[in-house]
Amino acid sequence: MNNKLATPLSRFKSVVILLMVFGLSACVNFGGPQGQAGHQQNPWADLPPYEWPPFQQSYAEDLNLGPAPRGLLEEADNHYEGGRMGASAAALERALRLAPRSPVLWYRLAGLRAAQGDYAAANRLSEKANSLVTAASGERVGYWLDWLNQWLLDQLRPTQTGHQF
Amino acid sequence: MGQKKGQGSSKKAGAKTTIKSKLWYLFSRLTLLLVIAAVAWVAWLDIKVLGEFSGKKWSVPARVYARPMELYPGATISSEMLAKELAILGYRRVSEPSRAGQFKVSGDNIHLISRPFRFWDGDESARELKVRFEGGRIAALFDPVSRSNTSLARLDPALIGSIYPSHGEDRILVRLDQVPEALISALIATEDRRFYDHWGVDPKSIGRAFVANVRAGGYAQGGSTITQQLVKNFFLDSRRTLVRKANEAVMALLLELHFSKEEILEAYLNEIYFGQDGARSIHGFGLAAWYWFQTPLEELSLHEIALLVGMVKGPSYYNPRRAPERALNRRNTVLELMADTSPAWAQEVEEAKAQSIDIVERSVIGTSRHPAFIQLVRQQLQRDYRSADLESEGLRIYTTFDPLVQRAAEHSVKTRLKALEQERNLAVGSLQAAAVFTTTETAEVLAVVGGRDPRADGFNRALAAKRPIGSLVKPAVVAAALAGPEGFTLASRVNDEQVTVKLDDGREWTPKNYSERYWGEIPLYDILVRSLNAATVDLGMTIGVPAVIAQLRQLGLAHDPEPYPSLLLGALELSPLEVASLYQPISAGGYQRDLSAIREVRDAVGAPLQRYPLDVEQAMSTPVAALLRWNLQQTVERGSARALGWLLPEVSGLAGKTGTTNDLRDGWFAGFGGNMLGVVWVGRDDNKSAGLTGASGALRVWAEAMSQVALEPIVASLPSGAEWHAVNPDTGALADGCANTTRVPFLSNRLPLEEDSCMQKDSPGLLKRIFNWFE
Repeated sequence: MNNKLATPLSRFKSVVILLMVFGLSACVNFGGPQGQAGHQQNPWADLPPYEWPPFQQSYAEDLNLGPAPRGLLEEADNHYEGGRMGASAAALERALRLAPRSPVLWYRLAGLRAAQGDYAAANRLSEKANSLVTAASGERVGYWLDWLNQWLLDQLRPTQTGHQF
Repeated sequence: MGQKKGQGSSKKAGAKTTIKSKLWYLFSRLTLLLVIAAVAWVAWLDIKVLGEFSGKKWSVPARVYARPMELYPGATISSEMLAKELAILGYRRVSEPSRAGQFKVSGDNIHLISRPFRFWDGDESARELKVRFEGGRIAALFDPVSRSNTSLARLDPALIGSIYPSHGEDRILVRLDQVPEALISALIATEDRRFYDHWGVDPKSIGRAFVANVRAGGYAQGGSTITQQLVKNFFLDSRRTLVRKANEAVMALLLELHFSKEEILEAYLNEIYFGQDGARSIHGFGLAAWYWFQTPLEELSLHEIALLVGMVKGPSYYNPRRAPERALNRRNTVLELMADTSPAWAQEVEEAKAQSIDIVERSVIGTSRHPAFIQLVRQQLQRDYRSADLESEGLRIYTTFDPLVQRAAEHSVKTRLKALEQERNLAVGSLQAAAVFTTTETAEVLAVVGGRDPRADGFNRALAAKRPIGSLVKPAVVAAALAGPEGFTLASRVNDEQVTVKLDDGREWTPKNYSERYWGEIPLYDILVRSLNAATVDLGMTIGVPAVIAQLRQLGLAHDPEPYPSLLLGALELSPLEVASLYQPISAGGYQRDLSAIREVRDAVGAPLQRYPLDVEQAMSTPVAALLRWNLQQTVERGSARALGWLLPEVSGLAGKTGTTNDLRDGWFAGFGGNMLGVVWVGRDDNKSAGLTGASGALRVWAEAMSQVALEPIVASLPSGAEWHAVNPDTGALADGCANTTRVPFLSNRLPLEEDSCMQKDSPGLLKRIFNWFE
């Protein structure tokens, strides 16, 4: 009887295994979040990213920033140097929420966008930074801002043809 | 005979053998069939168990989080505000904080231990902090562990709601290693003492349950193991039939065959049903901890754990809100069982039994306390995510929501409307309101109030009620004039006289001032300060309605309104949110950003999916924005919004504009300080007269809301490209150095051409000023 049973059962087993495999594979395919946004076409994508200027510790004292945003600025630079662009941007934006009228932070964000190749955003953000430079803050951080602004202009210059800068 | 007998018997025996063998044959075939059927049945159940369980993906709604509160010296956060935030986060107030999620208030200090949290830019570990306050600000942050001051710390963000389908399961997944040991002990003591010893089914416990039930004379104890209960929850309906019981037992065995005890326990902890909350069902201990205690599972005390474990037997019967006495008894039973099984708990059990039931009144998540804001989040997410993903993929949405501003706004709408109805003898409940508050420079939405009942998940007036904006449009007219080619300055003279405008269709339109008084020649800045209709139309017709439309579009208006002259007086229907987006660039030096409610999105395990980066675009020149801002500050200082001066005396330099539509149907106020912008609408749903102007209704709601949060003054410095000059207030002529003048900001390249006779000779010459115009 055992022999008699063995045949149909073993046949059946293979069907079971097959069914199980199907069942499992169906389950495996089930998941995974969808819906990440498609990236927008970036007209500057073919341009190489530029070097990021090193954080000028000597000017840090003159930035007219509180210790909290200044710490975040340094954190953003550390992330940048480690190649963690997203984290760097997040730290800069966090700093901007604490000190939203600091031209230095807007410049730095502009610089990050330029380094990421998004020159249009870099241009808009550096304009915003410029608009925040007052006579008072200009004197205080003038040298640092001039230097950073000049650096940004250098980055942006090659793209002037054909784009509205 | 013997032979015969023998023959006969052998015959008989032969027949018997045939029958026997036939019977045997039949029996063996039948058995075989039964065995095949049984095997097929088991195999089928096995497929079901494996299929369901190994690929198990719980449907988890997207969770929506508020902004994390940033603590740093100098932050405008008072001790009351921090205590409020900690309460919203579900931190426990204790006499001495010893673990994450606890705090202590003593005088001007708050001592807390924060919860660990993973942010986009890195992990924030749990840390002990002593926060000292001074004059409504944080004076110092001290870390007692490292014995040093710290410059910045971030609290975990409050969970403010979830995006779940209209009918469905809600849960917060937990890993076994997150689950307190006491919970496992209590669960095993109560539900399945031999969980670690049996193979899915426990004959002993069935026997014990049987005896207990007989003794009790009814159903007192179930014999189901945790594995069986899990199977029941996972695969089967709740009918108590024999077939179902058999299925349950076999599937339990199969489950134990394929999976470890830990996996089974973890699934059980996430699956178990805790009752219904409106249309959604509460599943798992993770959500139950939030639902009943507003705290993460890890932070529950023993008596709370026991209460939850007690509810497993009958979530509705032992519901501590509906049957607190019964739930308390059940909790104590659980505690006793726990002490019985592991005497190590005895001491703690005694303490826990002395505790009263301490559940939150209403859960903050799920059935959102803030449906109006969640609706905005959903609207913004729908550009990038499908509804089904939001409802089931367990996404984590990090928003810009500020619970403190939201509370202040809701509270203000509620109390002010009630007071207004009383003061003015209006029918109770007749008024409605909507409000939107944002940051200025970064354009992040902090709070949204969709109506008088902030919990009502219905018509969201802040997003959907489009009403004529009245005088709120006037700053756009002034901005268009200041930037336009006609050469207007804030000191230019305009006519405030009743004018009749001939419309394209031949009809005539004679706009009136609200006061029905006309002031003749006035300085342009008085258009906003005194909100003069006739002068606005005079100016608007000079620069042309299309120029005003262009200005509105630059400020972020999403559509082209009809170019009728009535647009100049606000015949433009917008929602409070749309109005806020028009005022945001004015509050941010001319730089516009689409109002944003979301910062980032992560998937169910916390991996980054998408950030919504900070980006801005110039909507008007910075000097023009500065002039406009000054003009709106004057409106608050001495004009139609001057009530703010006594309602919010502590914050100087606020800017704002009131708006009122025909027959007092809609009252508006849009205003901003240095860090926040708010738009409030007050009116009636049936569009009848509300009997309130913008200043008497909406402005008051705005002021009361802002009085409870850290509104900062506007830092009044002019950007390059703008400068101060003195003018003769009667003529608008430049009068630097003269007496009795008014100080007015001008664009550097557009100063008044006329000079007062008293002007000193060393002032910039006329020719130079004319030249400047062409720079």
